Amino acid sequence: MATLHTVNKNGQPLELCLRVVNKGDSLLLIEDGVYALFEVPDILAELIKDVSLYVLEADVLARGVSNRNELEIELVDYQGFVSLTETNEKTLSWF
Amino acid sequence: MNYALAVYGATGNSQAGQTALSFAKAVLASGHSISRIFFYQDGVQNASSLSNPPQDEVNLPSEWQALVQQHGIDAVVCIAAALRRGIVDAGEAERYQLPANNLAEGFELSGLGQLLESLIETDRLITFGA
Repeated sequence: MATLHTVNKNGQPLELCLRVVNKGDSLLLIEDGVYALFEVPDILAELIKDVSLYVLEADVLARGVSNRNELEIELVDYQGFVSLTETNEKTLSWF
Repeated sequence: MNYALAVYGATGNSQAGQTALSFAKAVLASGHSISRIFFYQDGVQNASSLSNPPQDEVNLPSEWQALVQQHGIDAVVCIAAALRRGIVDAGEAERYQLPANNLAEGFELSGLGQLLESLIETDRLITFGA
């Protein structure tokens, strides 16, 4: 059973999420969580091998962190966020 | 699918309400339904009828009010969380002899059991943390 994890800030919420995230899960960075693109790009680069990684477009644009094209992370809008909650049976919110 | 949302963040110092509102609109636009939105902890501030941000900013309580009334969504505010933060309806104001009430129309005070019920009875419960 795949799970969608949302992370809305770095530090403990992201760390705790990384402890329990399983292969095949999806992780969506939202709100201040999108700063992970800059703060922990190496961790994300490793994570992306097993986990589908997404960032919420509106939060990326609001914070000007949009130039991390070297990481293959998909930008999603709110419709995309909804789609992720459709395809994953459970959503865990880390905050 | 039938969704329920839980909002834990206040309007002034958290993005939770705004993210949840945008998500709720996208859920409805995707053809899903939302049976309940539960406002818990600091999230109860989203239900204040006295919130009055600058005119060029979003008035979240008004936005929620319009959304829940238009789509017949159950907007439940945790009564214990609300009372300790000064969000009261007319009934609670009378019970505790408070000088005013400020629960916006369209919202209702109720217990945490409503959140549990949503978890059991809906297809998806999405939480927006502070």
